[in-house]
Amino acid sequence: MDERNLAGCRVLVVEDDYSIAAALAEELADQAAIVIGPAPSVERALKLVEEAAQLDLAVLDVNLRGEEVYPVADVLAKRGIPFVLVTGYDRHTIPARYLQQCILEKPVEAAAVLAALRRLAC
Amino acid sequence: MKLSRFIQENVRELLSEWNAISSSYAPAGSGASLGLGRHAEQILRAIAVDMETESSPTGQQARERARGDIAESGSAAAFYGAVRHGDDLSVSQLAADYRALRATVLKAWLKTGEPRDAERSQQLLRFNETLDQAFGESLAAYDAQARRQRAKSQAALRESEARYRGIVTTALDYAIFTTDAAGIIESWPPGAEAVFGWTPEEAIGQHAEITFTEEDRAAGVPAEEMRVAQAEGVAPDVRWHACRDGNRVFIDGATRPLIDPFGNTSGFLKVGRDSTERKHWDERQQVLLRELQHRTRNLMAVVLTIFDKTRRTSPDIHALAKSYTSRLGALARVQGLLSQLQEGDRIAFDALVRAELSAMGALDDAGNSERVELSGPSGVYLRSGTVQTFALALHELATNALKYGALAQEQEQGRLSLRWRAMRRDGHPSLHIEWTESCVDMTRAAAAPQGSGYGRELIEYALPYQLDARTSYELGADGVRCTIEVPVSDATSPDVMTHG
Repeated sequence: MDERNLAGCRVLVVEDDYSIAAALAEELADQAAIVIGPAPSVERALKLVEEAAQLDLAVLDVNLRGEEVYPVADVLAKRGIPFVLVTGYDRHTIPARYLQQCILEKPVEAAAVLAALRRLAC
Repeated sequence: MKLSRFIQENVRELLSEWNAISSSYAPAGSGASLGLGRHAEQILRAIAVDMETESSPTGQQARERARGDIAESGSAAAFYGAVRHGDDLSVSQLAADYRALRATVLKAWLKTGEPRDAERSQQLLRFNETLDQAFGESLAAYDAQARRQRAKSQAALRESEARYRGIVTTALDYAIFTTDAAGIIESWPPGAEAVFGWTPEEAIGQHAEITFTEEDRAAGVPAEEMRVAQAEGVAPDVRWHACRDGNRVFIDGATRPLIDPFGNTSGFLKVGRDSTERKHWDERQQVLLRELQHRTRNLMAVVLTIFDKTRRTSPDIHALAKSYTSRLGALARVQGLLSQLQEGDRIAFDALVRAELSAMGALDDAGNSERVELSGPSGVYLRSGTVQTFALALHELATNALKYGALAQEQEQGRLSLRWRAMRRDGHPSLHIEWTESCVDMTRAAAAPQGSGYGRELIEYALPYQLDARTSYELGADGVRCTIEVPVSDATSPDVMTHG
């Protein structure tokens, strides 16, 4: 399968755990992707989306300090920006409208997130 | 031969013939085949005696004497009537018994070639008279028995009705009620009133729909339930229901059709238990289970990233093993503290600090140390979601202090002061912490190998990122100085356990 290179892609990272966010940002930087964020909260993520003139992809952790990330997902969906959902819960807790999205369950390796992003970038 | 004598002499033959006839319509195992023959024999003999004695006073006495011998109380005929009632035979079947007896006897007697004279007519008349008399006695006994039984079953019915009413009226946590075939409420016992709130006056005459929620009514659930009950014999009714006061009650029950004697559905019986409390409890369990699963998964993710971080900064596998084990230990201690919490409890900052420093050997068993000064209020509670990252940061600070800083073996003069106070930032409660190491020989500390960077990263980046903390970290002239100001739990605000 021909997977697109992430180099130059602008990738929004939304994840409230610093070490996970930092590790993912580092992996993306290694792929020459441009990391937007990371953002630890819905409020911060919405602000980044609003400010970003161009966004290509996003990685969204579902639960942010007890808040759900769906307001961010809705804005991205409206703008046609593909995203990966990462959750610490079971798949069946994801609302039906997102079940067609790429969903990864924690713990997930950075390599799996990168692979999912490459597929979306195609 | 006189008819009475003929009967006396041929009793057995007559009876066996009669039995053959009467058993053809009596149910199997009934009196006809179970010794009724003895009563029938007595009836027959009594009739013969009756015919003999006619109506003279002496005859009357003899008759009574004879009959007394035959049946002590009442007559054999009366007994026979009662027994036939017990056999579930109808009155007309009892009459048929006697018709058969009459025909059997007369047919056999006439066969003996009795001359057709006045004597024969006289005897026929007399026979019919006494037979009718016996039939009358049987009938009266049959009737009396029927009356007794009716009275008995009515009493039993009244008793069982009273018992059922008692059950229905005392089962206050069971909503039991009935409707007609269209779903209109017909009975509304106290249990239904206790669960749903409507009085019988308010409920009876209303459609059972009133007990359903608006969404279920709109979705046609009440009609569907009656349809299923009718088709399947029972329809489960396990859902939230509406109460009079607008509250909702979770009912675990079923709806069953009431079938009349003709097999038609005459209404419905609804029986349900109020399981609202249990439902809430179940839901709470579900939430807890989900959170537990979520925390476990998240923890695994943190364990993985810490490993990755440690691997990148370890010069060799021994150093990796040592640092990683130490960090996992700190993570495990936090999980231990968190798991001991009761619902709604928080972890106090001072408890976290003491647990961490004690575990690392920086405090003795009594929680003291000559080189460590702890000062600040107890009972400043951390938000549960922040505890883990906070503990890791403290762990890194303590690790560095023990390895190269104020608590290191070769830094005999080194001192650590940890002061904290509760304050408010932008109107929100927060905790201000100062970690100050002093009298550290920085020329020796500067020789520290790589690996101390993680603590600094946690404090400078992770705490601000994850906990909205304001932090500073600097290497002073005689040791590390670090300040952390972090929002803490407000006793009145709901605690948020989750993150990730």
